[in-house]
Amino acid sequence: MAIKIRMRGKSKGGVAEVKALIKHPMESGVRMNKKTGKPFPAKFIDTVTVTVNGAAAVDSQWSGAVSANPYMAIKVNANSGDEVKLSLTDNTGAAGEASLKLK
Amino acid sequence: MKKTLLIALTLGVSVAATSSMATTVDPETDRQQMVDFFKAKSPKIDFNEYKDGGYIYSADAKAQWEAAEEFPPYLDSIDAGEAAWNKDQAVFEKCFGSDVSKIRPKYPYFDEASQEVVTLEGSINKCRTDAGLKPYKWKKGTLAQVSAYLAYNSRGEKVNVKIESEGAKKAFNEGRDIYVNPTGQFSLSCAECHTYNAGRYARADLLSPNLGHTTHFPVFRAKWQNLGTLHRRYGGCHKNMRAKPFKAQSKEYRNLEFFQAYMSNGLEINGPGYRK
Amino acid sequence: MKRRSFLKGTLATGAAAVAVNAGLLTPSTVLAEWNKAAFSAKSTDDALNGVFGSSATAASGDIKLKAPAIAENGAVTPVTVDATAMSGVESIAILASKNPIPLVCTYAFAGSAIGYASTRIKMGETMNVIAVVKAGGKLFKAEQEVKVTIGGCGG
Repeated sequence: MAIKIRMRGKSKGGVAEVKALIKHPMESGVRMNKKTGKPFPAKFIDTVTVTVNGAAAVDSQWSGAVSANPYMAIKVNANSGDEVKLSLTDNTGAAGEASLKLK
Repeated sequence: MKKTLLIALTLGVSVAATSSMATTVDPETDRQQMVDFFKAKSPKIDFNEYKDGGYIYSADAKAQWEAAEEFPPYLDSIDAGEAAWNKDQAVFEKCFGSDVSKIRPKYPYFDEASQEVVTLEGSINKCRTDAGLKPYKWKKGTLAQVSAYLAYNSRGEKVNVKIESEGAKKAFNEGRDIYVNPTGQFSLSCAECHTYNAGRYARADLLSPNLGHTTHFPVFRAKWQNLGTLHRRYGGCHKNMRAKPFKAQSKEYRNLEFFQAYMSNGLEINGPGYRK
Repeated sequence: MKRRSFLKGTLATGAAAVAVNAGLLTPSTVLAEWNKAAFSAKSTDDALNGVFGSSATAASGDIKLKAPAIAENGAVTPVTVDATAMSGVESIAILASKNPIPLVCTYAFAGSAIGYASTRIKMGETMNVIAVVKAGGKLFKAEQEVKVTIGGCGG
């Protein structure tokens, strides 16, 4: 099942802040399951990429120490109407993507 | 001897220590005294800010809260609530009408026929069971999501609980008794923390003022990474204070909610809220 | 755990594959492999070596690091690194000094991206949040203590 992403982006004076809210447990693999005595298996987003009009902008790598249901914001030099695309994967192979046209 | 909240606090005496277990106060007088108390306590904080809870006392905490509220994690819950509402739309509209922005502000209210306080969550489930549908669980899950959806759509509306009968006044006072009477292993009352000591720290927690307590429910607590209803929080707090919690939607918690909501009259509804 | 290998074209997940096939990501914009070495490092120096090949950083007042003085909830600590006052910002790394694995996340910038990142991270106890910025080939650092408390009464 695709990882769910909410995205917002508005350009002001040629600079846009792109914000994303992602639904993901971000299990680091260290947290103990008290019932079984074993850690909850690691399941966390590990790579996030952002492109603007198809060109690479941000290549981000995460550990399980990023908070659950993560929030992320980056900034790009872009104008209203430019297309921003966010793609991500987690360590188990799940993926998600979202795109928008900047306001 | 009947001691009003304000007089007792001015004298630095705990109300519970000298008042009888069951008191009868005039709700509006009591509410006005509480508003005056908080005004005297924090002259720089405007009445309308109390809907933001404990965050009015700490700029550092408020900045973190605003960062979260900017793109809040409860958006999914609101969508889920909307989906649940739409799923049984015919049933819900028969009970509540079709304008989802007008539902939350009506609750809680005192129902004369049954002489009971009726809450939003209680009504949602009653509506379901009356129509032969399975009721939702009380403290979290779909019920909280539907409540969040309705609260979100009523943002900006003012809390306006009416007390227009002896029965309603009695329910208010019963709720007030739960609020002011000490209970549990620590012999603490809600008032001890949330009125007399609001704005101070209880170990690592900043105590929120009871003025405005109900405006932002249901809450998405970072701790739960999930939504919870007001009664879930009541129970959780009682448990933490080593007092026996009442059941969600019990008469006790409904009366407490009635008292607390009335005391927040005039404040804006801003649920669902993000909390630590 | 199969790592995504961009160059080989064997992609475990759909998103990057779609992008490659659509010609949106060219070999010149190679996405680096997830930096396992850096994300296993137990000290901040080792983590920085893993990310940048060096741990020699100079403190810089041009990095605006925003983090709370006292975290409301250590598991959701908001952190913002704003290096827009610096020129030639290539990447940002965020570390949590006392986390078992100090490296939390990295951001590499290209094209239209500006040196700015905001996120929420997990901090297990009072420690420093460290922002390291690579700009003009050099490493710069800003850090700040964040108090993390547990054992409140609110539960």
